[in-house]
Amino acid sequence: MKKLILIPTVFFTTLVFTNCKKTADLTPTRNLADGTNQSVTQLKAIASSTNTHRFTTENYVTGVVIADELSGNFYKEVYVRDAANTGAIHFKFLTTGSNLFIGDSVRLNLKNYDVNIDPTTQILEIDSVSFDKNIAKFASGANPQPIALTLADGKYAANYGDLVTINRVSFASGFTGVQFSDPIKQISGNDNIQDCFGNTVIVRTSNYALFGQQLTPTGFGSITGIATSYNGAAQMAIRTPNELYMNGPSTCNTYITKNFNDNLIASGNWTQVSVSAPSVIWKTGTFGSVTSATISGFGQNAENWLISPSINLSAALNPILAFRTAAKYAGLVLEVWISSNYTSGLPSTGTWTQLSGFALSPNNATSSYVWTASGPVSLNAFKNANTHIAFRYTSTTTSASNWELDDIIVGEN
Amino acid sequence: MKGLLIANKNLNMIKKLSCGILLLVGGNLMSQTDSSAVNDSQSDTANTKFNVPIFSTSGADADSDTDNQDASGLLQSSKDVFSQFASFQFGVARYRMRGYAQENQLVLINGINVNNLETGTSSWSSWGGLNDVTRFTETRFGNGASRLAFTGAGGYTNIDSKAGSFRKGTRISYAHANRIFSDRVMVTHSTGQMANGWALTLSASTRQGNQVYIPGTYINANSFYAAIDKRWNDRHTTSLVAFVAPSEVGRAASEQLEAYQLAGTNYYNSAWGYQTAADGKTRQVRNASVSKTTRPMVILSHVFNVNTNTKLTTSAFYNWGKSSISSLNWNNSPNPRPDYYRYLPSYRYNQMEFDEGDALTALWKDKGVDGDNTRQINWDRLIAMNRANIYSLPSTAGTINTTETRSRYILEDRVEDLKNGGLNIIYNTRIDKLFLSGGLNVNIYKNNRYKVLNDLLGGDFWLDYDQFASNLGVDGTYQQNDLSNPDRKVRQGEKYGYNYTTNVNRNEVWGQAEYNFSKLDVYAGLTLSNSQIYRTGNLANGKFPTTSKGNSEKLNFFNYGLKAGATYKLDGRNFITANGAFLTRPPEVNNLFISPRSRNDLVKTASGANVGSENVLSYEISYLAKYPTFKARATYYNTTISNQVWYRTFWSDEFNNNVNYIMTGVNQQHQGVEIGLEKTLLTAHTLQGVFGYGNFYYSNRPTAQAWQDNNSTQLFTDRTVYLKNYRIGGTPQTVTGFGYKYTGKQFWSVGATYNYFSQTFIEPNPDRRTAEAVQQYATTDPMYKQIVTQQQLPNYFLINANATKSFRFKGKYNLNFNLSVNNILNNKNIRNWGFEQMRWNNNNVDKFANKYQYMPGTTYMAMVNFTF
Repeated sequence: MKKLILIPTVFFTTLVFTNCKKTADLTPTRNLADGTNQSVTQLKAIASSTNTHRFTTENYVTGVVIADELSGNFYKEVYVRDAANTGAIHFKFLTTGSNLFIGDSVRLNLKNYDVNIDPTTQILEIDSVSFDKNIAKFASGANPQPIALTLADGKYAANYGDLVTINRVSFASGFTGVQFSDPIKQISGNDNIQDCFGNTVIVRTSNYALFGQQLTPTGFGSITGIATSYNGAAQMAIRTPNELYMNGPSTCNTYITKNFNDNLIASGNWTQVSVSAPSVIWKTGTFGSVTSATISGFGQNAENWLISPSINLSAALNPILAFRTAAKYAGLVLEVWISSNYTSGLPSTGTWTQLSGFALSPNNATSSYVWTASGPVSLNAFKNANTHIAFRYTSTTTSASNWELDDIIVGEN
Repeated sequence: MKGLLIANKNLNMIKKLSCGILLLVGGNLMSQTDSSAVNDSQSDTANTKFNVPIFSTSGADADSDTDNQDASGLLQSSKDVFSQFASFQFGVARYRMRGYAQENQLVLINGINVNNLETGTSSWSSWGGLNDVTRFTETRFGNGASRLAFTGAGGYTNIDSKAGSFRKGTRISYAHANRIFSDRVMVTHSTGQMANGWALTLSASTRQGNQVYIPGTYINANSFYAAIDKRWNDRHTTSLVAFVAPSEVGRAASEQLEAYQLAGTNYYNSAWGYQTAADGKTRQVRNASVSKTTRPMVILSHVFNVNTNTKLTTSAFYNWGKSSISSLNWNNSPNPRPDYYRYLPSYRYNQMEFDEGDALTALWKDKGVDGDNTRQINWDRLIAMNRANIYSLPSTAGTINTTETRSRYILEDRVEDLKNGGLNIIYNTRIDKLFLSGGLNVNIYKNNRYKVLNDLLGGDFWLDYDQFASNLGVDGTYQQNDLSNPDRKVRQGEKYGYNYTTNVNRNEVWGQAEYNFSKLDVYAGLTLSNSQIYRTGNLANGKFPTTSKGNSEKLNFFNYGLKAGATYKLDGRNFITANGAFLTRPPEVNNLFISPRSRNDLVKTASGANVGSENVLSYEISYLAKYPTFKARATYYNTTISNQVWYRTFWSDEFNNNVNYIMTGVNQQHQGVEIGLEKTLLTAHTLQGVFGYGNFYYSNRPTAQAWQDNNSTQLFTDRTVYLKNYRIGGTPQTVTGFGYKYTGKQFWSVGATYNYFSQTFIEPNPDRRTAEAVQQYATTDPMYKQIVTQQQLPNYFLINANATKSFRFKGKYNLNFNLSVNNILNNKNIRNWGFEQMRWNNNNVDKFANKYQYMPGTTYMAMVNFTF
């Protein structure tokens, strides 16, 4: 009997061992390695506002969602910052309900899509995206940080489509304490914010935004949202009012401001001292809509100091200097100096330190009055009771730039 | 317990090595619904073939074959230990022997094939409750010889229910249980063969239960049986058998895990709700998913014993009647189903609508009326909305209808009205060591499907429109379900919607020869059949005015089957058997049409040809030992079923439409090993052990096509489904069981079993395994795995016990008590079944999450019967 049982045992054991479990079929996917991963910079090089590029091969853009449809202020769309952190791109969908949320890592297959820069918004965009078929959400939970900037630093336009935080702004007069938009009358909101220099951006809020009936804050501080534009005017679309920290004192906390709009150089106790070539002096002038101080030392060996009134920074916390310039013709650069013991008269009667580390308008053979924001320049090292700021203009007989100067501010950051 | 752990470990080892092994007699098994394939166009669940409504039990509760499914009672005659476990112990886990669907096993009553000609399934509900007169079965599982019909991979069960087969006597039994029914009474009386040649048997039963285990479910089933035999002389006997088993069952739904968790019970059932009674106060439980069956069958047979070695059996039968399943339907109103995905908090949370999600969560968990109205169907609201819908007929739009309201919600019955008649002749003769069998049968089958308006729910009428077509055509006729009767107001009890008949005319001849050598028994069999299949549309609808009414093309399937086998007798107690069969058969009839409810158009393969027959190739090798105190069987089996058609209708998010999704050329493979051992010690102690290792999977990449349901747009064709090696769902593929029984001398016994279930898979949704479904993903993306990976349910074990005691007095009266208890540890966290919803979203797979059913905790059945 044992033998009889042995035979089948061996037999069946063999059968068991000869059959092997098979792995389940692998549904094929596209091979990412066969495609090209495009950064926003690369896409901007391929497409422009006048050149729509259609991808016909496997190309991908990968990034993280920085604005979603949740608050209702964005509809059938998301904004995505690319993985290489070179900029942002706008996906417009055919339908709502993408289930893509801020922090989701996504990849869009660009094949058969048109990429262009929207001529109205100046934002890189892809229209009619099918999130069901072409977007893969492969991770979530990223925490994309906004790019910090001010309206005076000139970075805003370079970041259209991206998530930015504008510091040192408040809602402008007439736009505080009003509804972001009107969902009842179906009116979108256009509310100006401004910085201490009067630079403004329109906060544009859809009448479908769920927070539309909330009121705009009345204070001073920072605002975060997507930088957009409309026909050349800078706009901002916020993700949620919770990202507005605008509860600071409602005026700009400044020690001095000087914008020359009164057409006076000397108002506010400003003085100018010609060290050489007394005819070369700062004057006010209006070019376009901007009134500023202007100086030209053409053909002369000139040196002129435009000196601020005495500023008491002894109690200051984090003082800064900001201003902006526009220049033309090649020549010596405008210098900025600071003193803690100057009182009056020739500059040489005081001890001066030159400030650096800020941008100036280009002054070369081809430049032509490009307004350039300078600062904020930290004055933390100069918190004294008797502080003077001076702008030193110099020229030679063979080399003289024209400089325009405006919106000078010394204030708390 | 240690031994058990080792067994499980071995099992895992074998799993890794994988597939092969053995057989014998067997039992039946499948407990599928009879696939009253009502394709619910508004539901995205898998069709009824996989969507078993109430799962009935088996195990000790074998008699509760309520709905159309449980067949385990039939196995009582089987001596094979593996088959015993498969039916009484593993049935509760929805175990299907060898993973076979029901169509692979033939069910015969008095030799007549009662498998449904359309679906291949057998309608156990037709004789549910008639346990006393259907208990005498001859069952052989697997390939093998049969003297009654040509049988295939799953073998056959023949129920002998002629009056003359029953002994004289009366049997009265009462059972109390807590599973499907709470109370059952069965009474049977048989005269036995009387001196005058007559024999009469009568039987009746009733099974009643109201919310016995699962809330909202109920059963109200009765059955009646009468059989009369007249033995004219030694050579001629005539038998008449008639039975009917009217039943009404309130069913349970499968749910997402989220719904079970929110409801706080794994036996949550969304199919019912409260309705305020006429008195305005009492809240009554009402189930929206009720199946009703009344299908009488009459069999007239004549047995002619030509001589001592030759028998000719001629039977005529007629089987008719209705079965239906009720369902809510609605028009231009919110979905009334409480478990609709948008009503679950997860839908809100996924959209980051936290407040709404929290509010819904609170409602789902609420224990008061608000909670009831959230978790369950809110009948009162449906009725109120109907009564408030003062709505004019479209043709008179603008006028105020002040007399009648149009129902927004109705309860409808999806009816199948069957007429099936036939003739069956079996011839058996013995010539020395040769035994010849042969037969011929003719079957005419007509199944009329239509909808009947069950309840207008407070409204006055329902318009006979296809609401999914109403916005498609500018032409107002497009939405008409019946062009000859446009804009019809449907009233209670009227037929409406679709109305078509499937016709199957089947003829078969078969033969078998068996021959016994001294050491070897061999047999071979052959069958030839022809099936003519066509659809008859009884209405012309507006969507397909020219192709919806009348006869479709008549398809002819000429099929054949071959089988052969041998038993080698090593000695008088050890045997080796080998059996094999190859056969072809028509596909399931409803799968032959693109949209059977609305048009005659046929499904074509990618090459444009009509769909061909399915092929089944099956073989098995067994070793058997039969000693007085030791029995063993080991079987290796291997079955390939190929060229099948797979069909579902569901809402597709991809196409934003109801879609008929059809796969052609579907192949599946079933292979595995069965081992059963039984050892008796010291007469009173019986030890049993069984092990079934199975590997049931799809074995190729089928081709899919899809059609818009409400117009003739083909959405796509020739789409490859990467289904190869995905496991077939719905049954544990590997099972292990141990049993011990003590038999006392005074007619009593006690026993217990330990059963371990593993390798249970969720039936895959093919659309998720296509390149199109995952086109935006890379294989490294987490979403990809979520979409394509097949889910395996956790393994589990059950401990069951039973006890019997019999008294006999005056040599004539028998009183038997029987108590059986299942799942003694009361584990209520066993998911034994689930499926992937056909509706799915490739951005968020959990939006339409898998649905599951939980096995009940401890259940029992106590039975007493008295025979005299």
